[in-house]
Amino acid sequence: MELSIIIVSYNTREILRNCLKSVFEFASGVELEVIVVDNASVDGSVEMVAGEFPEVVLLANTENRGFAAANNQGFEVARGEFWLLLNSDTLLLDSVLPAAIGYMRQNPEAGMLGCRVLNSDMSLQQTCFMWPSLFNLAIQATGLGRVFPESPFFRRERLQGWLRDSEREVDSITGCFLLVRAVATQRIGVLDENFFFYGEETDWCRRFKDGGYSVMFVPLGEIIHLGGASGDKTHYSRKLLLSQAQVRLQRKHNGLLAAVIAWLLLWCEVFIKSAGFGVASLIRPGLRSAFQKHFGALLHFKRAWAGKGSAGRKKVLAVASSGGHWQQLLRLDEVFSSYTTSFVSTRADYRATVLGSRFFTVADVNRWRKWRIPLVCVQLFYILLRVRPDVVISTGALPGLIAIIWGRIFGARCIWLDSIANSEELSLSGRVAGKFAQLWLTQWEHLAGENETPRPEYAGRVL
Amino acid sequence: MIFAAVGTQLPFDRLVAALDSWSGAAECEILVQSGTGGSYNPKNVKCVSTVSITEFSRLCSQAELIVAHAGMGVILNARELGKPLIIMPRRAELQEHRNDHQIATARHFGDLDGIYVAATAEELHLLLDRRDTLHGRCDNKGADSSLIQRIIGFIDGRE
Repeated sequence: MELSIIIVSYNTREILRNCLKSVFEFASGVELEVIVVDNASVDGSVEMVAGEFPEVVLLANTENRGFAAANNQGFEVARGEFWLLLNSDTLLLDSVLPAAIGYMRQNPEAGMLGCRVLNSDMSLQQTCFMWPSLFNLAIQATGLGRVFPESPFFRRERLQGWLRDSEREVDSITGCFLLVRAVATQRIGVLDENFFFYGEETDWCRRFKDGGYSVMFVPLGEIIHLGGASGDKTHYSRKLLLSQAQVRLQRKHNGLLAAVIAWLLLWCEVFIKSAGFGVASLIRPGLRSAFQKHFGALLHFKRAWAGKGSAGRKKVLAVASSGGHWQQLLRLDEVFSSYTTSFVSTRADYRATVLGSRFFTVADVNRWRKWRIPLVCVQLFYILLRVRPDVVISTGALPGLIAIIWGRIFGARCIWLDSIANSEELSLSGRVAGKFAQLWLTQWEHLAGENETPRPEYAGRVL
Repeated sequence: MIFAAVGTQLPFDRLVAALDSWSGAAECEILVQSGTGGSYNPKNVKCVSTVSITEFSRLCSQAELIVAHAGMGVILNARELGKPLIIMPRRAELQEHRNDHQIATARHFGDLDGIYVAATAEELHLLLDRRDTLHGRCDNKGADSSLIQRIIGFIDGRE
């Protein structure tokens, strides 16, 4: 199966019918399945799909589970090599599907792809963005993007000034049309259900990029997205949900401090906008609803804080030097695919062997290159700070030992698996690691045991 | 094609020279990943100092036979691909490594099906002469499940 199209439906019966018609009309030459996940619509959407599109795989929820969870349900049954997230209020206009799949086949490093999206009046819709960094949030907080809507600087997060007429690597693409390489999700995982209503695609795109894939905008076809221009944009809870998503993105990827700063910056934004629209509405009464929206958000801004969220998968940091150490580490793949694993090694080309996971390189250090030890200590400190792992695991050698020592200081639980090459006695690093790692393993039964001198445990081998 | 690899940390002139002298008499393409810092200049075999890991995997899978030092990286690679493998352990007394752990590795893994040990150039030549009779054994199942379960149990806090 080439392509699985996943459409989440919620009370959009008529436009969903048109959407499905356009999919089947323009998908010639693509071997595909369409999965509709209905979030408890009450307008007869389920009956319409079941009656008029019997070839569609229909999953009907009895409650509204939200966008992320519904898509994840669809992924569970999807059999395609590629997955397309498609909003129910879209219309395909041309042969964008075969073109997009062709692009993904030719560019194996591309993990995600978005196409040109138009409003119903055929004007361009913004569907790709920069990462909402603290710098971008600070610019947004000034409110000057409103004053200079065409400014490429004040609206840099929206990539203002780019007409979406050229191929470009971007930070995030919205889920109204998002083509995904399915195999990448084995390591990267699916959408994070802690996000509610906004931010889940931004988070997903970020994880694809962290995993070494590129997120591409390619103008190889067009679709219309009806809802993008409308929706109730006047109510303050929308602003709060959007702000909360931005705080959560910071908390998840950059830590608690960044989340606090993001929250403060976003508070400044609604404060400045409340004041600005408040004064402006005295002159132009038409701006009164904009004032009400921002003032309402200001009064309830506490709700924009993002709580811890459910823990999700544990974070594992796996560290090994080049050669045999790395090959042995890779034999534990069944462990790594059960968690969100980031890898560290001493050779940059090893990234290709763990595509889909975060990968860092540190300098090579061994007994002949001792002078590099301080550098590797700093590099690993930075990596621990970035990843904040729950568990650190290493098969050696010295960089792995340093990672384990840092791991203990950072409060992670640590595992040392001594190399299978050390069949007579533990390696020097392995002996030291026994003082720090809570799980200390050898791959040779005769080296294990419980004596007066501490000895490692034996649980099996990589070969 | 025979692919030979000595690893990236240290040179291994004895292995490169043994391949080179055998290659002069035999009609067989040999590519040697010979590392850096060696002093032997091969006359017959083609050498590259280092290759990327993707290139390394490609060469291993194209080769009919792999010859290497007794390093765990290449042993695991050969077994994942099911290729016959000849290993020549480095010896500390010849300054080929800091200790004799490769001799121990060869002793422990040399009796595995598909792995052949050559302690000397002569033994290597004998094995290369009968290369058509050597066979590989595929093992791509990953680590022992007892090891995997022990680690997953620890991470999940089940101890």
